[in-house]
Amino acid sequence: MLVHHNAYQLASFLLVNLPNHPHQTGDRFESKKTSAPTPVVQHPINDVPENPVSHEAMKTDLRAMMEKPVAQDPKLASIMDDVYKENARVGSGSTGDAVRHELKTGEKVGGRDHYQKANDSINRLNKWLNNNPSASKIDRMAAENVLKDLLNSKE
Amino acid sequence: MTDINKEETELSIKIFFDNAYSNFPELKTYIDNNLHQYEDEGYSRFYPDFQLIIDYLTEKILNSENEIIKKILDYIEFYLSKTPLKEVKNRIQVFFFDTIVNRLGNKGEVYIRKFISMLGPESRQLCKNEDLIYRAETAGLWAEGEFDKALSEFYKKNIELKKDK
Repeated sequence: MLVHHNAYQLASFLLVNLPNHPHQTGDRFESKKTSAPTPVVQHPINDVPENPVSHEAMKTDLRAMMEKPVAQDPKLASIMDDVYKENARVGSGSTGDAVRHELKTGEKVGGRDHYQKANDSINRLNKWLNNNPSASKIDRMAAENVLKDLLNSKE
Repeated sequence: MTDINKEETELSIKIFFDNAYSNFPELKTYIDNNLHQYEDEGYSRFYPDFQLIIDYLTEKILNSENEIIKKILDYIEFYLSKTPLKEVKNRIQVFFFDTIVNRLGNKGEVYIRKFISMLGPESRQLCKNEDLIYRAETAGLWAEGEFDKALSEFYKKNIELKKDK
């Protein structure tokens, strides 16, 4: 049985296991037009919003809460180490959190340096994804989720 | 930040690196030998030198080469105590201390404690600033109860900043 120790671990689990929205092209759900009615199974990963916009919004929120992913690739693990802070009490402890803080406080606390640091991390993750097309699916998914969270934090 | 401040900040950071390399030739050699291999990996576009100094120090900390670590950290402390520019301190806080504390914290508590124990007061303050932004208490950085008190002040200040905004 899976036990999630906290919301951040649950967010990480859901992001790895959350299927694409049923209205999108996905490999886990069949199209509503062609599939026969299936019994509803009470499981958190099937409890996705009907509206695709809400679905994406939920994934964005989950990424912001996601704890540091464990990467097998040493270079990706090193990027994750630089991006995530241990023992954060609020949020995930990622550079994305610091950017959200900078933007909320009108950049009066630490300038825009976390924003720039986020750009650096985005660049490193993009390069890693381009240089490692055959890396494990879990590593690539982790890199993509952290990348998306960093991009979202700047909006 | 005004253009004049930006120029001053960049110049100060350049002086910071130049002095570090003349004081620590081994560090300079390490950077020269490793910079090229990071170009394809999208290493920092802003301050690749900080990333490489962090790599170098991490290696030294993991190998317990305390003498050279202390000398470099003392140099950073000296520089911080002399620079009047808040922007320069901010850059060192985010691009150096934030990253190295994150990295060592992820390597293990013993390493982060060792690193923190070698910092001077200015450096410790920059690490504390980062802890407050992340609401994370770095091992060995705060006295008993100090973090909670500072965090409470930080929240109050944030509320005022949001109102101003």
